[in-house]
Amino acid sequence: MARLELEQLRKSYGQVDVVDGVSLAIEEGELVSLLGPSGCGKTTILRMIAGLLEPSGGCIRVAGEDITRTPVARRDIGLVFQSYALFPHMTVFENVAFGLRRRGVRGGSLTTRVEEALGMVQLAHLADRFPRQLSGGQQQRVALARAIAPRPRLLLFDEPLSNLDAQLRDRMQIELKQLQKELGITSVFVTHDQSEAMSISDRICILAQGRIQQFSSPEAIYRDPANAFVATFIGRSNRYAGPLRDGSIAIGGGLALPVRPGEAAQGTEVEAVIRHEDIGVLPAGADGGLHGRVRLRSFIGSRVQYVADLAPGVEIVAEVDAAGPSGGFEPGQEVALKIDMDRAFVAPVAAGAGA
Amino acid sequence: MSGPFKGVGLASPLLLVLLGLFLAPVLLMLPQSLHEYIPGTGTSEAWTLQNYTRLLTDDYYREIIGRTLWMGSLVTFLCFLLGYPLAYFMARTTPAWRAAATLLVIFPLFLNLVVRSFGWITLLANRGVVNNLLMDIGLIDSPIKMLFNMTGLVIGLTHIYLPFMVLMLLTAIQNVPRDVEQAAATLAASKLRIFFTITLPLTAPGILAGSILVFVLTISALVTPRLLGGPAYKVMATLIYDEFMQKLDWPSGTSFAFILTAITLLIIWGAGRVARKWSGGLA
Repeated sequence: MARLELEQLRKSYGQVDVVDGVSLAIEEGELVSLLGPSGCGKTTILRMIAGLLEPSGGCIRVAGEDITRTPVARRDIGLVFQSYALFPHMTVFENVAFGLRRRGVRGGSLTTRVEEALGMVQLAHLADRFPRQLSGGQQQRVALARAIAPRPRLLLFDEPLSNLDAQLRDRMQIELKQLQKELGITSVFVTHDQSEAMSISDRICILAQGRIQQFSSPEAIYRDPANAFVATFIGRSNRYAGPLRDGSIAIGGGLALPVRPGEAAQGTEVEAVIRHEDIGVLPAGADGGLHGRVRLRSFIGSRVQYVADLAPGVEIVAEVDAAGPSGGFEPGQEVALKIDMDRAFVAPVAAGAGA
Repeated sequence: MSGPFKGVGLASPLLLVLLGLFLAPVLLMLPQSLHEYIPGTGTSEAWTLQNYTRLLTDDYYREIIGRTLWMGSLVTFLCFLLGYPLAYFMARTTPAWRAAATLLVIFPLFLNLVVRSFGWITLLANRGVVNNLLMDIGLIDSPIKMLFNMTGLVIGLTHIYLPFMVLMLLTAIQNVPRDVEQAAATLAASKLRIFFTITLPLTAPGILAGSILVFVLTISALVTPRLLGGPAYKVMATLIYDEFMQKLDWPSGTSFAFILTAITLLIIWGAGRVARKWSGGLA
């Protein structure tokens, strides 16, 4: 259990910087997700923390101790792989015991600690099985038990749930978070799935092209994105760009979206990112709405999603409560779309283009 | 898939070929081995087991059986010992090195077996290259006998069957997932321990297949033992050949051949069991 610090961490392959000067500090007992599209460098960072990849520059510290050049075997970490990476020729018990034996745990206390770790993932009854006799979910639990059994200073997760089906994944997310809080082990969790990152993390670090885009709590990232990349990457959004004139963005088709004063200078190209759920759908003619016509309606359980045309070539996607008054519009119907511009992300295009 | 086109039905064309061209001729020889050989006239009409009992009780023949199995074990073990580091290097090096090494491993297979065996004779003979060199630099006074004994046979056969072992091991080592080894490293295992507790057991199927292949090829090899062992230092294969071709004693030759086959099958079965236990059911 320890604080983890990355300082100007870099990894380049030839001319390409896969990780480009990443600095962050993860507090003791905190669970931080590295989130980003594929190729953003998140797995590379994790493998450098684990010691499986050598950084091209920068520094990794655990509890103040520099481990940048420490061999993997002496880093005192637990790593859960996407592929589980269980030892196929050993029983579940032996898999979990492996790390404990390397740390000199023997005899009765070995049995106790293996059983304890297996108990935490509810697999104590399968100790004598071989990995090939288990389901994918069970194998992932064994991998988790194997990583936590030696009580490492640091737990690293490399997309551990991405091979599980959706229902199992939801359950495992909850269990994993619970377990991590119980043990209080500082954890880094790599994922490309934003809802997974949202649900399990204390803080999320959003990466793109090897750089940190934003590092804060899930709420802050959702409500107050640092740039256009984060605004588009998190949640599902409509994205409009156009010149700013008289306090409104001209988005084509003669339409204009009013923005708060001071968002950008007059005449510059700006971009507005509007979440699907920040758009209200009202009967046609309602006050303060843009006029539109419903083109598609998709029912997605508790929510209904509408795709509507505002003008030729300008479409908008809105998501509303299925049970509410706006849930029942049909394709072809005229509606009024009320955009909550206070919640929209507006920024000059150039500022967000770096992401 | 339904009707006749499933299970045994799908295998049957190959099965028929194997039964008709391989198993049937072998079984046809079985009655041959159960008659007595009468020099000059052929075989007796009476049935007897004496061809088998003679081979298993006579010290001369028992020595040959023992020698054959010992030779097979030595060659297999040496091929494994020499082949594993090479295969490991090939599996873990860059593709360019791997291609070069593979070519070097396969290259000897392009040369005729007789030529390669004669090559060893010129190297290993009493006045051969190796002995002359050792005597010239004063390491030894008289030649070391390396021909017409076990040393020569093992050297020659190891050289000939090493490529088979290497190719089998190469595939096995390439199939070991790297992240399983990395997982062991994150659990504080040293490189040496990872090799002995993870890599080696996970390659058990390849070690088993390579060993069986080399062992079976070695104990049934004829040309190399004949050339490097000479007419007097016999193994099962040369003995069987002589029974058939020199003495025209077909009943003895046939029964010897059946015994060799039985021993081989027994060893393959036993090796499989041991490997399965050791690798947690993987092999």
